[in-house]
Amino acid sequence: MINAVLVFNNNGQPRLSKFYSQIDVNLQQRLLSEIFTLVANRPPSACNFLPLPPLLQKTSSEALSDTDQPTRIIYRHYATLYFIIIADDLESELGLLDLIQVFVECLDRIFENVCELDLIFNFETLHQVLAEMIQGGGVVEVDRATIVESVKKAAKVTKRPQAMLPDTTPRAGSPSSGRSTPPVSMGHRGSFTSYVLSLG
Amino acid sequence: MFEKSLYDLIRGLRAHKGNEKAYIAQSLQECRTEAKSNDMDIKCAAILKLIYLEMFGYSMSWASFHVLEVMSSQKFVQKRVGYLAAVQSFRLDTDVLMLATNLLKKDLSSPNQFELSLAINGLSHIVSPSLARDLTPDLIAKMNHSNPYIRKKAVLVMYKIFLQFPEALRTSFPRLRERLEDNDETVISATVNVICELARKNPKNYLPLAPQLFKLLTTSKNNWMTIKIIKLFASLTPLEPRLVKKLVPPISNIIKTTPAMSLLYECINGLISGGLLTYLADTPDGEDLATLCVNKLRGFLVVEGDSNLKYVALLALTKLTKTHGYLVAAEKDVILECIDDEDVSIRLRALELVVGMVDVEILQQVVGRLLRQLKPVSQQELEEEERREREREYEEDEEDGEEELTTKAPEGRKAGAVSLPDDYKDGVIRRILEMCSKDTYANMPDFEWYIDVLVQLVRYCPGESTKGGGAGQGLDDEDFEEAFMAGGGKVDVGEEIGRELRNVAVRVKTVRRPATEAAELLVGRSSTMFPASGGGGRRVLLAAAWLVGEFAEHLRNPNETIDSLLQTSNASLPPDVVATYVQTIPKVYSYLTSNDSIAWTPQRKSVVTLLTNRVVEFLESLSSSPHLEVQERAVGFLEIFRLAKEAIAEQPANGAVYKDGDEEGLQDEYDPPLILTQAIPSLFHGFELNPVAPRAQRKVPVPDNLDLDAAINPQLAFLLSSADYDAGTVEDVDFAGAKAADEEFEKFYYQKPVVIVETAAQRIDRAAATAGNHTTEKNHGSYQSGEDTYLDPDIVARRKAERRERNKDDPFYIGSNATSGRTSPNPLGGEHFDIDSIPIMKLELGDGGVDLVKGSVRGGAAVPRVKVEIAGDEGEGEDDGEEKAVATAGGVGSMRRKGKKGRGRDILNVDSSNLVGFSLEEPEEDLLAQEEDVAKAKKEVEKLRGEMARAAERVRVASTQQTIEVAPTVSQQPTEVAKKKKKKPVKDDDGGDGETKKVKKKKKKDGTTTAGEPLVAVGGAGEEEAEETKPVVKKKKKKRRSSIAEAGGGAGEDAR
Repeated sequence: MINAVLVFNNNGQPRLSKFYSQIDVNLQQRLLSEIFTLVANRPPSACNFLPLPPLLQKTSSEALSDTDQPTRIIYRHYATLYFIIIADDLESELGLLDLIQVFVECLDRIFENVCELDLIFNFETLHQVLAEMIQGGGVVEVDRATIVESVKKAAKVTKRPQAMLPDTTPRAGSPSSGRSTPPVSMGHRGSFTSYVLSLG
Repeated sequence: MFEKSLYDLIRGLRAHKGNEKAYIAQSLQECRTEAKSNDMDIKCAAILKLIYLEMFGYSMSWASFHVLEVMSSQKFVQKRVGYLAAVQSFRLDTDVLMLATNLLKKDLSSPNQFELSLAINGLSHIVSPSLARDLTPDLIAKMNHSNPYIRKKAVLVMYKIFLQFPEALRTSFPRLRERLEDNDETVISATVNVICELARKNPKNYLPLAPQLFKLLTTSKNNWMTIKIIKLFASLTPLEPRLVKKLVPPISNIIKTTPAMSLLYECINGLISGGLLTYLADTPDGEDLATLCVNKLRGFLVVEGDSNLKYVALLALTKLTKTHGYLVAAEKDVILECIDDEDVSIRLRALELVVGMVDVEILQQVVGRLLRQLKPVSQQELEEEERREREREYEEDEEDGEEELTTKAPEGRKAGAVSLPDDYKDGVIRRILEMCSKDTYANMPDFEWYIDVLVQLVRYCPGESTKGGGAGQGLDDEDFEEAFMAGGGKVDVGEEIGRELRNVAVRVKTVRRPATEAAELLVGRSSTMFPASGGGGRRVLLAAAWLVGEFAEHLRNPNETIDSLLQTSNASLPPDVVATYVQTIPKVYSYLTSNDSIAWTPQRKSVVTLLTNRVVEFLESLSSSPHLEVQERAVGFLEIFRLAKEAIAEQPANGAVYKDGDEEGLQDEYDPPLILTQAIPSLFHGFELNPVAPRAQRKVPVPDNLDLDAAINPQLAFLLSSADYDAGTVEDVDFAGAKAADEEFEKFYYQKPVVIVETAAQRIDRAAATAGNHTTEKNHGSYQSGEDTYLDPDIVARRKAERRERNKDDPFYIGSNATSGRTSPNPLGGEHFDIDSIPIMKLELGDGGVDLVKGSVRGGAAVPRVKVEIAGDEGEGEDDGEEKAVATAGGVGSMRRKGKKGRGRDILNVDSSNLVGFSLEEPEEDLLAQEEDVAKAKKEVEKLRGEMARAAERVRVASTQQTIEVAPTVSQQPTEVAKKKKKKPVKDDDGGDGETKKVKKKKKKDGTTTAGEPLVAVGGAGEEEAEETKPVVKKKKKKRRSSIAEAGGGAGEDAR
């Protein structure tokens, strides 16, 4: 089971938070900031696994395998954004790393050179992409083309107001002054090893 | 239109840098009004804004009704927003959830696949027991939907349904099983996913699927799914060992051929965690497989630049050490490299692994590496740092030299580039202690070395977690409590080091002296032995002070020690340390003064008087301590010392002038006062302390000739009484049986079990013999000469001096020439070999030499180059099974507790206790019982009625229906509650023949609950609501019936 998917930027501001178990809003925020503290101090060369933050650590040393405890936190850092997945040990660590990659590549296909601002102004789309990939904590689709297609098709069904469409988001018009995170392409393609080869 | 859209809100937020809070508060206020608007567009926009703000921690739980309104919108865009809001904000206790049933039902039957998928996805988040129950039939139908896009989602959502409503598992399992044969790969993948989750809860149910899964494993091209299948098999194999043989060929085939790292890793992982390797442990196949795994993992470790692979490889190796430790140990070269990896996560993993695989040969090497890590910066850097620091402001004592340098270390590090987090340092120290003390020091080659390491570790202790009053400033009891709480109840690492020191001193008699001397150093130079900042490691004094007191006879310089114990600044140490000090002072005092063979001369008298006065003074200062423990001990001893003071004053000294007035009056021989020679020492005399296992008391053996069931044997009384008295006082007992028993008893209690450790000599011999072939160890392989790279110079110097001293008497030892001017170990260089790096010379004589030296006075007397006796815990062993049973029982208990209490601690935990042990088949005996026990059911109904009153207290009425919480841990609690609810109105509905109807219902209920389960009575307010709920309930009832029939059929089929 995947317990949560989080996206936040280099300053720890949340851009997406999706919890697959119901927890209190305040706890969500605490968890977010604890994870941010952990992740922010890591050098780029470090591995992509985080130790459990205090909030998730268990008091007693119980057998890990018998419970649904989240045991692994996997992250990837793209330009200005951190993508985090919290999962238990029925998920494959390396597989999840690829899952993040799939997620980002899907976003990239949808937004064409996705950047943080795209995600801010289209956070609903962000949720949709995620929902096509992960449903209730289980991975439902990993094929990029299928995911993108589903999201786009669903967008056609909606007669959404122009401003909401991803393609017409007035990216340039947004006040990016005083913003520490200028629109930078995530430039990730090919820069990561894929651990699950069937991706392509 | 003045309403803001989400777009405006985000722009606004960005425009209001600095006072976002106010802006958000204002926006929230607007949202509140907008959400109430009749215009759906406005309402929807408001909800969308609220979702956005919720991400930043502004709860939108108040808007749940409006969310529901938006969910039921006709427009897909709005509906989608509504569902998103529900997903993000609804909780199990959200009351409008009750109203969502029909809406979801409607959306689940939508012809639009996107609406349908929206509803399924939404349901996967918000599903509650009642929603699960009501929607199961719809979802089961969707599992056969023509569109794979829907099928995969429907399959996946079923797991969430099962969690809330386990009965659905019985109904839907046949369908689920069909999906394994689906023609769409993603659907199969989703099915495997669900079964994988389910199989962990109760693997037994899914064994029949093995052939299908096996086929998938061999044919699948989808790595994602293969990974899941392997994980799934890892849950199944422990139950069905025959699977192992079948699985090994395909899995090893994958290991050999797959190009995907993740799959490769998961195969290895599955082999380990599925117990396949354990099962095959001593077969050639198993060995081959294990070797293959280890080789692959080694490959992971040596891959350049991929730290993720390193990390997972270490994880897998750690698991593998339990069964194939020797294979893992063979890879120690690469593993040890990881201890020094730049990535702290990897280091920690490696550390964990190393603790598991460490043995006599590599212990010192590993500890050396770790100490080197803890060592802040290299010596030169340190000096530079120091100089810079001095230039800046420090005008401190420069003559302190070496000591200063090391104690300044933490500060230097702070400025330096290499900074290790404190918790890492803390962890490393704990690991060092753990691996050194493992199995009662089974791996310890050299205890003196260990003591030096311990002293060194004290200096590396990270600061205390609460620095409240700064270093040196004592903390209040409460503060301490808090500090402990903050540290997760962990014992301070300094205290841990102290425990080790004490443990070694108590267990290993031969190093008691060096250990006590180390403690003496710690107590005596406490200001320089510890890190300068943070007050870390100070708690080592707890054990150090105890050691100094208990083994005062081993003190190098007792006078100086008591001096440092009596320093007034000690009062500011942590209270429990001070309390130990109070206890220690009389012990050392007693050691100093109790010797009655020393003549009671005037000088002696004045020295003792002086000392006593100081003790009294010190204790007086503590007798008003705010800490109870300190105060109580201080006051108690204060009285004794006041008595002693008086006695000393009254006791005339030999050759004293004042009393007799006679200059040559030596005819009167005066002994030291009895209170010094008898009274005070007797406070501390007793049996020698031996380590005792925590559960030893329970293991005192029952003598053979004692029958506990018979009348109490006189011998027992004797045994009991003899336990209270000194062994010497029992001579007068005459019967022989008792004596024999007594002896046994004595043996058990007072003689130590002896653990014989291979001599360091043999070990190093072996190491030397193998050193030739071990080229890889060139740089890290030297066992002794590397010491000064991780021990501080003063410790190294002391070690060397001790060694020299020790070897003085050794005719075979090549003494170090005083003129040789050894500076540093120089293994390559010309004539100056480091003598210490040639241990072989003295090893040759091992056992013979020591007997000669044994009785000698000091220094080398009891060098543990011989067999070291390590006292094991008394009463250890035997009923480990029981211990384990207790442990696991405790574990299970706590797990249950967790399941019940839920989100408090384990916030992300999915409560799946419903599914644990849930069987697919309806328990048969229940079906039988159902037929027969109508009478019993009747009785139970009566009982239920009686309990209703009690249950009513726990019932909460929420809007139209009641939510019921039942305290006890009934695994199928929700469903029972649900049925109860249904039952009630039905009864009212039927009116007259309610009684018989009720019994029938009861029967049905029995069919779905397990046998001995306590029936929980609930209900309560059912009566009043009957009128309103009637129609709905009737419908439900019908459905329920059909589904149960289906369930029965399904189960039957399955059984066949």
